[in-house]
Amino acid sequence: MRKGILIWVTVFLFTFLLGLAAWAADKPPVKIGVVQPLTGQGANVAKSWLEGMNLAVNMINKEGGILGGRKVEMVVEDDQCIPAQSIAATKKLIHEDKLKVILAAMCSSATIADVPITKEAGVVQIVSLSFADSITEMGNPLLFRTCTTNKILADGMAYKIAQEFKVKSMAFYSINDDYGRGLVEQTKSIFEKLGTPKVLFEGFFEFNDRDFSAPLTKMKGLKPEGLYLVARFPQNAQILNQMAELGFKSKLFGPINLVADDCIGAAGKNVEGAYGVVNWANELDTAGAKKYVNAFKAKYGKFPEDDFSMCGYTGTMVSAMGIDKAGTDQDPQKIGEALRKLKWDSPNGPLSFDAKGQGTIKVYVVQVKNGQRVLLK
Amino acid sequence: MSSFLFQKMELFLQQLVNGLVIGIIYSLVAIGLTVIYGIFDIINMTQGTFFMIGAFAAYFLTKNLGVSYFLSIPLAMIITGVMGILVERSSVRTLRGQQNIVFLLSTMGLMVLLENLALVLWGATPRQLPSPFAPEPVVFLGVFLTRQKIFLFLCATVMILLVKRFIKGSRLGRSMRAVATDQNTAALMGIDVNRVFIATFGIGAGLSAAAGVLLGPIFDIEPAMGHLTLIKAFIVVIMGGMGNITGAFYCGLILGVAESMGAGYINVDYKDAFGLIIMILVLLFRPQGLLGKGGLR
Repeated sequence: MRKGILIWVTVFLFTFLLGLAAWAADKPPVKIGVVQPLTGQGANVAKSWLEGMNLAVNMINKEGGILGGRKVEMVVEDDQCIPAQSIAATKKLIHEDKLKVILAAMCSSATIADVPITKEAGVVQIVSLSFADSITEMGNPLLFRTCTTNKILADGMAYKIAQEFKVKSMAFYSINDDYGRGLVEQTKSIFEKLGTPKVLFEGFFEFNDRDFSAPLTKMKGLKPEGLYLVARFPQNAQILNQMAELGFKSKLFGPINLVADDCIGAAGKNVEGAYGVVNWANELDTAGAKKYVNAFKAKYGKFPEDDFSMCGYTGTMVSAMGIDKAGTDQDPQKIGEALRKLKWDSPNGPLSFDAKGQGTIKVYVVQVKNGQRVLLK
Repeated sequence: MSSFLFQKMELFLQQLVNGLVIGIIYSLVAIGLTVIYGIFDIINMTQGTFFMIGAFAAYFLTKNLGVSYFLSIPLAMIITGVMGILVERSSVRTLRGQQNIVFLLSTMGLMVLLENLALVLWGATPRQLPSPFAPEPVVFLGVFLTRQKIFLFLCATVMILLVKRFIKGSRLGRSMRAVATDQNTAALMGIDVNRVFIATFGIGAGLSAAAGVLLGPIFDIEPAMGHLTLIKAFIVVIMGGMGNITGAFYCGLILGVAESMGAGYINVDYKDAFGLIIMILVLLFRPQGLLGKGGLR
């Protein structure tokens, strides 16, 4: 009888030790959810974004991971920039994968659709590449935005157009979604407040439009001195090329997308001289920026391309730091608290969050010169 | 004052030309759709897909095999025509005698399949089909046009005229018209109906492919490029009368110009709505189409 117990105890102890050894050797990774448009409109932007994300994951894991040596792993879902798809992807990450921190999404309209889902489930949502102002106004206490907003972008460019470049008349041509409409609205309201420039034209197009000749011909007739263009790739390049085909010239202004590498590559000389309001320029030399550029060059053998990889990097870093500082990847409340207290030297500059979860982000104005973005002082 | 009027005139002409260029593309795709409808009495959802396949076939031929752009037009038409025949074999002929909705579903399934295949092969990122012409526009009477657009318009017009002649004059064309009028009687008269079916799908697919290759260098090519084109082709077919080739030709141009003028002079944001409004009006007041329903007229 006593011998039997002894055998059982030995077997139990042995199994326990074996399990412990296995656990120590291979701690489960910390999983973070990602919803991005891997296909469809925005796929190109997401590619750059994922580069930045992978860079951050690499750096974290190389330095020994988080939560006492656990590696970070991203679970990526495709939402094609479609709000309904985005909701499905977010729900999958929350309910099937049981993740507590989710980076969602890219297209503002998709992100806006995701907010009620994460709010109801009580998980942390990190927004790293959606600019619509309403996202941080939707009352999700666990939402943090690590990128700029339409308002910040509009402020960064509109005053320059009116006061520094002294443009007298403007046309707006934009994608018909929350990002485009929001940015046009914000910029226009600043022009109205200043009383200059005069807005001659305001038009919107759909994401599947390819023929812009009719609106561009109309704009050509109105002769605006400047054109504010809000379009993602490839539409921005197509619009610029069709402008040249129709002989319509205007000073070009726009957000990040207009001066991003994909657009410069496809539009060539037709985007020369364009002004863009951006979050990132290779000339930035803060400590956070240097660290990012060096790591990027070491991994990919080139300079960071545009804002998008920086946004992916920042969002991923912030998510990992939140989990690490909270000491858990299972308690969204604690992670939220840690993020509220976070202070970090991001590539863009010192980053912390306000009461609504909006990060402090600076914008810069660049100009395309000889196919390169040049930072304006 | 006169220079002001002159400028207005220039813009008007520019909008007209813009509309005609896109309109002739609508015509090409719609003629393919209407021919297939006329013969089979079915709605072929893969018509937009043929448009995409044609463009990608030309892309493959020019980029990977070094074929010239001009040669790639007939080659892409032949490749896509063969694809069309395969579509007929796989999802139309096998289902003969079924209700119309069955063909709508079978061709729609094929559309999704082929599009996703293209997505796997080439990815979602749009590509540019290189144009053999210089990108600088030609200016005539203040109207800006690229050489590619001029070539597109001439080439498409010639193709449409050839198809019309073929259906009117050739033996196979006459057989097609006979089958369109009454399939059973035609078969009893000794017409090889299967041959007509093959020819119809081949022509329908080939025309769509030509549209894709001609438009490829102007707008980029991507797997989803056929969606909007298919919708526009539907509008044109309904406007022109189901099965009416002449109707499809004129109504394609009318739709293109209506969109262009609507966007230019009424409201830019509702560009695509103008076509749909016209379609609804036609359905309400002249459901047989502006030029009447036709057995391949």
